[in-house]
This record gives sequence, structure tokens and C-alpha cells, in this order.
Amino acid sequence: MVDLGITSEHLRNYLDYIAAAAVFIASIPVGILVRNIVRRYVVRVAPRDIAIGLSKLAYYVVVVIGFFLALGVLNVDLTGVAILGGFVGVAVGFASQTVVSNLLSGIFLYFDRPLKIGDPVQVEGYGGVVSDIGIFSTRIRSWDGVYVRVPNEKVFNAILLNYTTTVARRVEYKVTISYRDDAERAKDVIMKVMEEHPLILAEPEPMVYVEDLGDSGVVLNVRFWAPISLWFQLKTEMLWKVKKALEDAGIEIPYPQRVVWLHQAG
Amino acid sequence: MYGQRDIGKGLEIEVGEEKVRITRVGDLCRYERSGVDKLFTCGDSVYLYPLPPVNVPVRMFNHVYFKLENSIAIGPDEEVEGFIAMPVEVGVFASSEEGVIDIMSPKPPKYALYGSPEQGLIGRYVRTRFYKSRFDADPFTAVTPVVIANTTDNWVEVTRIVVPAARIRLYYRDSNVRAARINMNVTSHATATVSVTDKAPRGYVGVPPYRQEVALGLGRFTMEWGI
Repeated sequence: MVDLGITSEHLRNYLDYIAAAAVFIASIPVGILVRNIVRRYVVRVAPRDIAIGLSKLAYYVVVVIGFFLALGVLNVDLTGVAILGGFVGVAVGFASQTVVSNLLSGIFLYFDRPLKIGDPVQVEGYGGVVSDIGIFSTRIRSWDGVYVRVPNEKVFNAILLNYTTTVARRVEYKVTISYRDDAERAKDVIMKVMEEHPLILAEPEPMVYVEDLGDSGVVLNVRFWAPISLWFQLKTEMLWKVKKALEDAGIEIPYPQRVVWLHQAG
Repeated sequence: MYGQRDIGKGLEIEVGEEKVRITRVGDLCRYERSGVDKLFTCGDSVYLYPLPPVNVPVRMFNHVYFKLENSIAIGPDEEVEGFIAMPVEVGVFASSEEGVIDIMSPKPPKYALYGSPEQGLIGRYVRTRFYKSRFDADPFTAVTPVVIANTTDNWVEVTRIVVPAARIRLYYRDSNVRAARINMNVTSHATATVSVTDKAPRGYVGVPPYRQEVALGLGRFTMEWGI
């Protein structure tokens, strides 16, 4: 009979290794199961990106727990691991401070809802249309088509302009006419142009008034309200219409002027 | 004016100041008017229907906002019946139920904000008098019966009525258009509920619903931004 040199202690060790491996390997399908459950439930109440992020986090938590359980099966003294884990935790904590902050900001953004995908916004000086809200960052397609990635922490803390949360928005121009022209007539001409446009809102009423007696002419302030989705279109369209209407009415929009008096000596 | 129109070899229709021309091009028809030129698959007829005035120049808004030129003061628990004028748009349809080819607004459209810029709504703006008796109207104005009931214990003054377009039902007979009755229950000095009684006047034909979502057509609408 051949002696393989396997003692009962060796056998117990092998069994411990197998049991530890089994515990760790088992933690993987359990983690996948937990990940799917978390994703399935969170996606009902939170955006898909947050659901995916949280489900991944749940998976890794289960696998890490499985790892420590496996170490426990091998009777490894976890005190050292705990101390090491403490140091690693502190280091990772410092390193991931921004990441966690962005993650939490992403969650807060979801509940606060200052913006949503498709909204035209201005954040941190970047203007554009929100193309994606992730768990760590918000992506904005700027007006000229460049993608800008803004960390969620900055979005959450920034002064944010969202151009679609209102139903209507005001447009304002300053139009200067010559001192020779009748300001009342100019007001009537501009009001008529605004009244004829179907999408310039009748209420709140459009308004034209003399705002300033400027260096080069009488400054009229022109204000009207437009549906938010047509605001930019109307803003660009109406300024030219106002200019044309004033021209057609013979009202001058003066260039900057300065009167020079020449003193003739003798 | 309204209803079925035979195309025959060609058809010309005047809708207010617009001249509409429909001609046959092979097995298709060509629809032309100022700024519009389109081909469509056609049968023997097209259909002209009056529509709630929210489609021109763009279909973006879903309410009609009546501003009364003569306000009405109503005592506690009293009721006032009358009529208001609602401009209608004219829809040209390829079939009796659907297939819209074009929609025109013979009356110049105008829109206004009801409520605040944050939470209000934009609707087709209609300035109208409140008439005590039925009045003669042109083919592009729907005579609209209105019943305003003051359910409060105080006097109220009504200056405006807002109705979801989806709840407006229109009926026609030749060139006459009528709308379903609007019922406005004033619930406070600044709020009211609005509903519509869908009952065709005798001799009038109902216009098939166009883009009228069922959900919007049910229940009452609450005016919460002033009356």
C-alpha cells in the first residue's frame, strides 16, 4: 500500500480551501441575483443610469462580503485585514470623495429635477441641450454641437439656467430712433408689428416705451412674451420685422452721432 | 360650405380670402392654395369641417382662452345663460373621418398666456362679447352657448373663460357652425370648473373629432388662474 502522506489534518485543510472557494464562488451568482433585483426595483423610481450604478454597487458589496466569509472559513484572523481595510478605507475614502460627491449629487439631481434630458440649459457657463444625466456627470451638447461633461457635483451646486421650465419667456430689444422722428408713431408701428404676429402673446401684453434719451437718439424698449419653445425663433424674427416696419414708416434708426462745434477765431 | 364636396374633374373652393384648388393628377389629387402645394391619394370627394381654433399656425397649444369684452357680474347662487363667438378653423380632409390635407384659419389667430409664466397655459386668444341671445355669425364663427353658474356665497365678476380644445364639439349645417354648450361653475372669486355638454342642435351634423385625445375629453377643467 502506497503512503500518499495525506494526514487527516491535510484533508481538513483541503476541505477548508474547497469550502472557502465554494463560498466565494457562490457569492458571485448571489451578487448577480442581488444586482438584478436592485436594478429591477430601482429602475422604477430612479433613472436608468442611477439604477445601473446602484445595482453594480450591490453586486460588489455581496462579492466582497463573500470574500470575507471565505476568509472566515479558512480561519484567517481578520483583525489584520480589518486594520489594513481601515487604512485602505481611509485612503479610498479620500480618493473617492469627489466620486461619491458626484454620485450623491446625481441622486439629489434626480429628486430635485432642475433639468432633464432635452432641456436647453446653461450650467457653469456652458450653454446647450442636456443630452445625458449619468450617475457621476451630466453631458451637455453645446449650442455649437460640442459635448461638455459637467460633474454632477458642479451641476448641483451651480447657478443653473433652464430655459424650458416656464411656459412663456419675455423678449426684449432696445431700438433707437432719431430725435427728429415721432416716438409715439414709432411705438404704434412697433406695436402693430407685434399685434399682427399670431405667436406673440396677447397676454401678457406687448409693451413699447421710451427708456432713454440717448446720445444718438431716443431709445425705445420693446418687450413681448413668446411661447418658450418658439422664443429664440421669435426673438430673431421680430427684430428684423421691427427694423423693416420702422424703415417702411420712414422712421430713422440713427448711427452713433456726435455734434462738433468749430469755433472760428477772429 | 361644410361637409362633403365632390372633386369631379377639379374643385375650387373659397375659404374666406383663401382660394383652394383641387385638381386630379393621374390617380392622385393636387391641393393648392397660397403657400401650400401637396399631392394626396383621393376618392371622389373631400370634406370640409370646422375645427376648434388651435391648429394654426402650429399645433402646439390645447386651450381656447375667451376674453369677454363685457364682463358679467353674477350674484350668489345665480346663473347666467348666453352666447359667445368662437372663431373656427377650416379643415380639408381626404375622407369623412380622417386624412387631414390642410387647415386654415380665416380669422387671424392670436395666442395668450393664461396664468403665470411658470405654471400657466397658452391658448388661442379670442376676444368676444357675451350675448344674451343667439346672434348671426359668419361661416367661420361658431355660436357657442354658455351657462355660467355662481356657486359661491358672494358676487363674482367673470371676464374670461378657458376651455380645453379637446372638449369643444362643433356642429355644422351648410355654412352655419355651432359649438357644444360650455358650462362654467364659479367656485370662488378666482376659480371655476368648465365642462361641455355634447348635444347636437337640431338639424346640425357633428364634426368628427380631430386629434381629440379621449383622456382630455373627459371630466372638468379647472380654471385656477382667475375668472
